[in-house]
Amino acid sequence: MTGELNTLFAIIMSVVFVNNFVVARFLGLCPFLGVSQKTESALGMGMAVTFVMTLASAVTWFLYNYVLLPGESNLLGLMLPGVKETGTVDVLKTISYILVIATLVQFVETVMKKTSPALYESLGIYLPLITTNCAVLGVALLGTTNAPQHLNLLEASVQGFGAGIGFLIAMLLMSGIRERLALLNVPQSFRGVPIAFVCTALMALAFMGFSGMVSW
Amino acid sequence: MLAGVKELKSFNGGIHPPFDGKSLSKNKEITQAPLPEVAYLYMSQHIGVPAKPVVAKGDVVKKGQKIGEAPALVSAHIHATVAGKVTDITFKPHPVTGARTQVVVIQREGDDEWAPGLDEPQDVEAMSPDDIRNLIREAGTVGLGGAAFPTHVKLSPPKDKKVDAVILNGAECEPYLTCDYRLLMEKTKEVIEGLKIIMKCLGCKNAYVGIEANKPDAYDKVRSAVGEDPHIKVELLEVKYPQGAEHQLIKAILGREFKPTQLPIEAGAVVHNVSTTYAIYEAVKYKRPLIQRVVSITGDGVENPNNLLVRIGTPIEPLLKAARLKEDANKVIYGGPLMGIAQPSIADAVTVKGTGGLLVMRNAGEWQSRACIRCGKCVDACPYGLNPSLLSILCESEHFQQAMEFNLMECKECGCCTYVCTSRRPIVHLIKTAKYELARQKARAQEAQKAKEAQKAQAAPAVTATAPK
Amino acid sequence: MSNAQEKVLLVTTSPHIRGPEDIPRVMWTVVGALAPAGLVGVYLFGYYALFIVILSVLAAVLTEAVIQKYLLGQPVSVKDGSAVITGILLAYILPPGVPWYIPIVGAIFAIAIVKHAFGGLGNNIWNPALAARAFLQVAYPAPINSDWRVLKQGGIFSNITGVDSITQASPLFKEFGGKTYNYTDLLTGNVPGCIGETSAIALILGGLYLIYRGYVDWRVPAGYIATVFILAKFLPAKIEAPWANDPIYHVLAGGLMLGAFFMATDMVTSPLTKKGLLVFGIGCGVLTTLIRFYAAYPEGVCYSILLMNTATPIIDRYTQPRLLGQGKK
Repeated sequence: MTGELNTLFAIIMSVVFVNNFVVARFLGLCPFLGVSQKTESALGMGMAVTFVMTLASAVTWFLYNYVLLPGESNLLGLMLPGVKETGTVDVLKTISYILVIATLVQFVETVMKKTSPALYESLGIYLPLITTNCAVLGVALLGTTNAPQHLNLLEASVQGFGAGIGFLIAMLLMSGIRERLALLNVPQSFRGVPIAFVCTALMALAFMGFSGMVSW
Repeated sequence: MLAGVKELKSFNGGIHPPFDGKSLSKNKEITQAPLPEVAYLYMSQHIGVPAKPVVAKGDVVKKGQKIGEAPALVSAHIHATVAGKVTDITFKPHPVTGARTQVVVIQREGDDEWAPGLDEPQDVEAMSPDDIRNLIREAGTVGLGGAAFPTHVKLSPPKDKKVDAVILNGAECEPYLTCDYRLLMEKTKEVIEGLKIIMKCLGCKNAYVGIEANKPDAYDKVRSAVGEDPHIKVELLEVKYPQGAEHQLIKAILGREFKPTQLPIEAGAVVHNVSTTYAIYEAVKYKRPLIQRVVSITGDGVENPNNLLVRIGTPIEPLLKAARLKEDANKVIYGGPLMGIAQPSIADAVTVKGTGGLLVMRNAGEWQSRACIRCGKCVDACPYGLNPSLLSILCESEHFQQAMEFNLMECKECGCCTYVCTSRRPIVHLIKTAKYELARQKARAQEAQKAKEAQKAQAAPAVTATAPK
Repeated sequence: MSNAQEKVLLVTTSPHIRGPEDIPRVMWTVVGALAPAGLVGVYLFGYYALFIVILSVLAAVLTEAVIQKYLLGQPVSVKDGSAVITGILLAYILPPGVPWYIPIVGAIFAIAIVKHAFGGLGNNIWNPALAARAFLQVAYPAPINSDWRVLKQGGIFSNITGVDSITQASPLFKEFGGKTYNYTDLLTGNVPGCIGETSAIALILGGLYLIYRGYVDWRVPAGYIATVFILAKFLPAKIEAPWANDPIYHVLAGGLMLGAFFMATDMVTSPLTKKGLLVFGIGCGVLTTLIRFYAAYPEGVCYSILLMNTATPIIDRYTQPRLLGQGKK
C-alpha cells in the first residue's frame, strides 16, 4: 500500500515539477503562449486541460489495454481472431487517442458554453484546439507505454491529472508574468510573443532545479 | 516603551521627513498683516457650487458685507474682507483649482468699518443647534485645513447617522505650517470655546483634541484650558504625516476605520481643525464672518518667516516682500510641501479661505523619474492601504479601468508614496492625471448619452406626426 | 501689481519634497554591503577571484552602456550601480577558478537577455545574476562544475595546512566522501565554494546593515533561513553525510546566506507587500531544502530563488494591501 502511494506521489512530483509538460518537455506551448495573457483565462484553460488530460488518460488506458495490445484480453480479438496475435497498436493508437481527446474536448466545450459563457468567450479558438494540444496526446501516450514500466489504470489517471496540474501551474505563473509585462515598457522588438518565449526559456531554466528530484 | 511613558496614538503608514521646517516660523507670534489696497475675492473658495455675486460694479461695501450668495446647500457665502468699492467683477484663474473663476474686486476705501449687525457679542447659551448652524452658514465658514469643505454641512449630519465624538484637529502634520500651532498657543481659550460650540451644535458629549507630540507646549496649554472638563480628552499623537488627515486622526484617537472615500460621519465622528474651530468661535460668539485667517509665510525662500493674520483675497506679493523674499526663491506653494499647490506667478496670486500657508522654496528642481524598482516603500507608506506602485504603473500605461479596480478613486493624494519613492516617480501626478482623464471620459460618455436621448426624443414625435397619415 | 520684476516660478504637482532615498543611493549601499564577502573570497582564493569579479562587473557595465546607448537610444544609467551589483553577484556565485570568458558571457546574458529584453531596471522578472548562473550551468557545464580552485594555503585562521588536492564544489557536496567542515570554518568562510558565498559572517554583517538601512525587509531572510533550518532538521534526507540533518550546517553552508540576504531580497524580483515577502522567503526556504535533499544539484539556492521569482507576480496578485476600512469595522 505505502509502496503504491509512494509511486503515485513520485508520479505527481514528476509530472508537476520535474518533468513539467510545458517547461521541461516543451509540450503544449501553443495554448501556453496563446491563453496566458490573463490569469482568469489561464486558470480556465488550465482546468479544462486538466479535466481532459485526466479523463483522456483513463479512457486511453482502457483502449490501450483492451483494444490495442495483443493478447487474450483484446476485445477486438473476439471478432477478428488475427488481432489477438498482432494487436492494433501500430494502426490505431494515435488516431483512436485523438478521437477520444476530441470527444472529451467537445464535451468540455458544450459544458463550458452553458455554464461559463464569459470564460468560453475568452478562451476562444484555444478551447477546441485542446484537441490538438500535444501535451494531452503526450500524456495519453506516456500513460500507455510499457517503458519504463507498464502503468495500471490508477497510475495512468494520476499521471494525467498531475500533468494537468503541472500545466495549470505553468499557465498560472506565466499569466502572472505576462500581466505584469503588459504594463511595462518592454522594448518594441520584444513585445508580445518574443518576450513570452524568453520568459518560457527562463522558466525552464528555473525548473531545472527540480531535475533528479524523483527518479520516475 | 518605558514605563510611565504614554504610548503615542498613531496609524499605519505615513512618513516623517527628517526636517519638518516648523522651527522657521514656530516661535513667531501672529501679527496683523497690512490691509490690502485691493482685495480679490473668488466666488468659489470652497468645495461645492460657486457663490453668486450679489453686488454690482460701483457698489460701496462695508467690511463683512455679503457679496456672494451660496446658491445651494453645499456651498458658502463670500463676504467683503475690506470696506471699499467694487471696481470690477471678472474672471481669473483660481490659485487652487486652476479653473477660470468669477472674482469680485474691491478697492479699499475709508475706514475699516464692519457692516451693520456684525461684530456684536452673542448669547451662545441661549442658542439652539440650528441657530448655531445658521450663524456659521451666514459667516461663510469653511474647513480651513485646505480642503475648504463648507462647515455648516459638516455640522448637519444625516438623521440616521450618530455622532459620538468631535475631534479638534491640532495635529498640523504638514511640514513647515505653523498657523494652527500659533492659534493653539495664543487663542487657546477661544479655540476650546469653539470646540464646545461644535459639541453643542451636534449634541455630542465627547470631544478629543489631537496634538502631535512635537508640540508639547501647545499640549500643556490646551490641557490647562480644558481644565477639569471630563468630556474633553487631550491626546498626544505620534509625529507623522498625515496624522492630521481625518482618516488617520480618527484611527489614531478612536481606533475606527472607514474607507478613504467615506466621510468621517461613517465612523461616528466629526473633525474640525484649529483654524476652522477658531473661525466658528468668531462666527458664533461675535457674528464675525470669515474675512481673515492666520497664514504662515515660511520656507527657505524668505528671510523672515512669520505668521500673519491676513484678510482673505490679499495679493501675496506684498506679503512675501514683507517677509523678505530671497533672490533665488523659485517656487511658491499654497499650503504645505506635501499637498500644497505651486503657483505660476507671484504677481497674480491672492489668498483664499483655504490658504493656511505660503511656502516659498529656493533652488527647487525637478526629479528624474525612473521605472519602478518595486522597493515597496510606497506600499508601506500609504496610509490608506493602496498599492501606489501598481497604480502608478497602471496610470502611466493608461490602464485606467484596471486602476479603478485597484481603488484608484480611493486615493487622497496625500503624497506619502511620492515622497518615499526610490525611483522618484511622480505617483500622485500620475494618479491625478488618471482621475482627470476618467472624469473627462465620463463627461464625454454622458454627453453622448444625452445627445442620443435627444435624438431619440426628436425622432419619436416625428413618428407620431407621420402616424396619422 | 505687475510692475515688479516677474520671477520665473517652477510649477509642479504636489508633493514638493522628496525623501532621501534614490536608486543610486540604494544600489551603491548594496555594493558596499557586498564588499566584505568579496574581500574574504579574494583572501581565500587569491587574486584570480578578484580578476573574475572585475571582469564580471566590467562586462555587465559595458553591456548595459552599449545596449542603452546604441540599441535602445536611452540615456545611459550605469552610474546608478545596478549593473555593478549584477556583475558582483554573478561573480560571487561562480567557482573561483572559472575561465575568463565565463563571467563575460554570463554578464552579457544577465544584462542583455534577463534585464534589458524586459525593459531594463525595474522590469525584469528574474534576478539577472541568478538566471545567468543557471544559464551558464547549462551552457558550460564543464567549467562550472569542475573548475574549483584549491584553497589557498592557509585559511583565515591558518588552521588548515596544505591543500586539498581534489577540492569540491561546495561543503554541501552530497556524495559520500565529501569533506565535512566545522561551524567556525563555515562562519568565517574557510571553506570551498563560490567566490562570494563562503563567509557566512561577512554576508550576515552586510545583510544586517541593509536591513538596518531599510533596503532589505527582514521577512525574506528570516523566512528563508528559518524555513531551511526547520525543514533541514525534520525532513528525511537522502544525503549520505554526517551533516545530512544538521540544520546549522545547512544554514551556514553553501550559498544560503548570500541568497537569503542579497539575492532573494532583490527589490525588483521579489513581491511588493510585506505579506508577499514573507511568503516569498518561506517559499525559497522550502524549495532550497527540497532541492538540496532530493534533487541532482548539491545546492538549491539559485534555482529556488529563480522559481520564486517566477511566482512573484502571482504572489503579488494575492497579497494586495488591505484598503483602509475594508473588511474591518
